Amino acid sequence: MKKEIIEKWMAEFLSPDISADDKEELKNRLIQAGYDKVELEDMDKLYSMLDEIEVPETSSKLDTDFYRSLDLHKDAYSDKSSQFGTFINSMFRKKYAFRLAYSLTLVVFGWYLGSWSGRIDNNNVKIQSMSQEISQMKQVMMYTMLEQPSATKRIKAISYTDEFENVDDKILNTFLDTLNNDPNPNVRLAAVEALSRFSDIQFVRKGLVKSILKQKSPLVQVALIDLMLKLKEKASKKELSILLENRELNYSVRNKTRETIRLL
Amino acid sequence: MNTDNELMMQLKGNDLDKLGILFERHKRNLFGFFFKITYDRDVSEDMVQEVFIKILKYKGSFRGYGKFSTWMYSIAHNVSVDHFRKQNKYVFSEDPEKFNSFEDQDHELNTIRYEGFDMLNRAMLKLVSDKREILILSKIDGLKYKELGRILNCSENTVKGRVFRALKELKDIFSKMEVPEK
Repeated sequence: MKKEIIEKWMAEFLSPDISADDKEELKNRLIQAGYDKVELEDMDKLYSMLDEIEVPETSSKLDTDFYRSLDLHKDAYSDKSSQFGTFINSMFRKKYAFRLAYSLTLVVFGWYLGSWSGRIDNNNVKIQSMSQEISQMKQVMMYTMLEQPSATKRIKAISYTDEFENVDDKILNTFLDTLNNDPNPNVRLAAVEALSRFSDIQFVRKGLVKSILKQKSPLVQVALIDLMLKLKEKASKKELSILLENRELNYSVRNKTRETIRLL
Repeated sequence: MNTDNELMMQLKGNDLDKLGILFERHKRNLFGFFFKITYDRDVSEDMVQEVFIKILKYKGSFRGYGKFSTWMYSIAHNVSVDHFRKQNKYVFSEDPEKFNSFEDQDHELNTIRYEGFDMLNRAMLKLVSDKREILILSKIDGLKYKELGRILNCSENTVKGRVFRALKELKDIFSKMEVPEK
């Protein structure tokens, strides 16, 4: 019998799409063609074992990087003017519409004032003022976007902190609230990342520690545990010990928690 | 719920948010595919990213006649070939350093580092990457030999022969391995 035919039968015999009857028939055919029955069964078993190769969970980085990349592409693709129009429409339906209108008026007024006066000495002051107003606008946008149903938009909102000149307590409290209450783990991970940059502020650090016990997602738990280790936050040992008492705690998180307590 | 093909057509119309839905649907399977041929989580995640960037880049070439998953795995196959070509790793040999490096990776890998890293994994790492790839591709749900042929740009019968030969070689390697003492 031709080698190619045996190979073809064998591949069909292994195929998960074949019915039990067809499989048995092919098995008999292969045995009749001289294929060793034990080897045939061993091959079948080994092929089935390939399904059992363990695959780890993906990290939060995969999601974060993907959505960041998608946002960049969206910015590049989108029609800027129509997007701006849509944004303005949606903004005016929101409770921050008044604040945005106020901010915009100030920016336009500032610009007009700057161009009208023509006094070079005052330009730096005005530019600084405009810059503050733009920063305020971004804050308004951030709050609005945090209320959006799209997780991508909420992640983007959190990433705006990189562009703020000043991040006040209100923003940080909002992020702590997002960390503890947002339904999407990727958004919560983005909040951990953003808050980690302000971990030298006492209430932020305490908030991060307290949040350990509020998290159900292993990914967010691990992100917080890693952060505690990085910050060498010994005060978190209590929360971490309580976390270990949870019988349903993910096996890997349990190991990570034990190791972190030991290192702290 | 929109099918993958419908989402792709919307993506072609520059509704880029649809890529997020496709990503959520397929990231896990794609990651599993790459992990099983590279045994490296970070590299596999980068490869998943690359596939989706290419989907966006080449969305215009998706005609919608065939299954989206076949088209996606064609891209994944090219990403895999590029990776091994760049890394000059077409021929893998068992490398103890590679096993040890898993110790340094995070918790999720640690859970599989020893128990999961059994004889089968060691045998798989002794196969050249394209043989490892065809075995893993042939195990992906919903991909039939005919579709594998489209992905690998060869005939259905060639695929069958390659699956058989890769499995035969894996079995020979596997049979020669000693069961490690516990």
